[in-house]
Amino acid sequence: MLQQFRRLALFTGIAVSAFLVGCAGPAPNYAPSIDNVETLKKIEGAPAVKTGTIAVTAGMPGAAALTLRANTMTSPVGKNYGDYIAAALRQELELAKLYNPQSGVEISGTLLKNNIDAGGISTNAGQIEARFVVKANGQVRFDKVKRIERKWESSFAGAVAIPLAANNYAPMVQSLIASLVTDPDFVKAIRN
Amino acid sequence: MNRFVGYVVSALACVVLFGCAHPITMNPDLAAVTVPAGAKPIAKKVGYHIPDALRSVEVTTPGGGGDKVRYFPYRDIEPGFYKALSEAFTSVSKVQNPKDFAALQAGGISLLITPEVTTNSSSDGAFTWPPTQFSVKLVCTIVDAGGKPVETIRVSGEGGATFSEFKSNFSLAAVRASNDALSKLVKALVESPALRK
Repeated sequence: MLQQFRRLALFTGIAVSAFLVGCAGPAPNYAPSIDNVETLKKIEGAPAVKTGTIAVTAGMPGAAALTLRANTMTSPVGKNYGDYIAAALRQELELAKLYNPQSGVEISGTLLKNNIDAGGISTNAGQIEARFVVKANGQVRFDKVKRIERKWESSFAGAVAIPLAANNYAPMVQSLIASLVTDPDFVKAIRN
Repeated sequence: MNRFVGYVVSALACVVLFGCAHPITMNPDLAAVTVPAGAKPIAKKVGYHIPDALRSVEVTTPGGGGDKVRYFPYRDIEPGFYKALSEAFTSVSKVQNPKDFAALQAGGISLLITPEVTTNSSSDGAFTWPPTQFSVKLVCTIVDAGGKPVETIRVSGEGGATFSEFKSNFSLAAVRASNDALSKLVKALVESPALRK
């Protein structure tokens, strides 16, 4: 009986280790979406713009660190994921040659939700929700909330599931920015 | 029952310890991809073509401890490739159909660049899976807007990462290899007399 209990404990320990194993660290570098860059380049008559702060909602889970099973993933830039999204947007504007830190047109916002569910053994998902505001010389031209969700196939083994979840964060941000730059009201706001 | 538990424990141990293909990325650091000091960009609008089928190709190469790593070379390197072309030329566009020469000419594209990416990795670590060495080879076939061959550029990038470095970024050797290859690509492009003609 005792031997069986020991084996069960060993089995449980290995299973838990397999599920949780992996290491914490910063999220991977953001990889700009070339589709977003090309979309931005096609906005006729758009002046260069600047990015302001993407603030985070006070007390929001996932603002500074995302929990991936027993591990945490922090933003590799700035203090939180609002800074990550602002830097991501700036990179795409820079590649489109539409970024000018002296511009009177500013894109800012607030991160409302930032979540990755990495606990699933067959699929996992993540959601980001953010309010984006475009101001021209202090006047609000655009104010909308954008929300995306991304799902991916995962694994029981934490050594696979955790890096997979981490590697899906940048594509989530790409989708969020795509939802912004393809919005006709956004295009109109930065064009005016 | 005892034998069954033993099999399950052994199988799980195998899953944990051996044979995993761990996902990493090769996403380069775009700030590291710049034109060499003093070099002037080539005053041409270029297009590049990566087939969608290649973007979705995932490759698996060796990691450490008998494990492997898997990643998407074309998808991961594309933003850095775009940045490299933006540094070397005055304008760059993504091209969907490289055979549509009329559309290329109508769009003002004077050169069409098609990259081929080859990678490899290795590790001297027996107990850690992230690669300690990574290599990226880029071969860029460049034709004019009529499809006539102009130049072929070949560069290779190498990246290394020690345990103390990669423990907070499992992809570090791959990122460094991408950065190295793309920096060399910018240099090779701006120094090519054939591309300035």
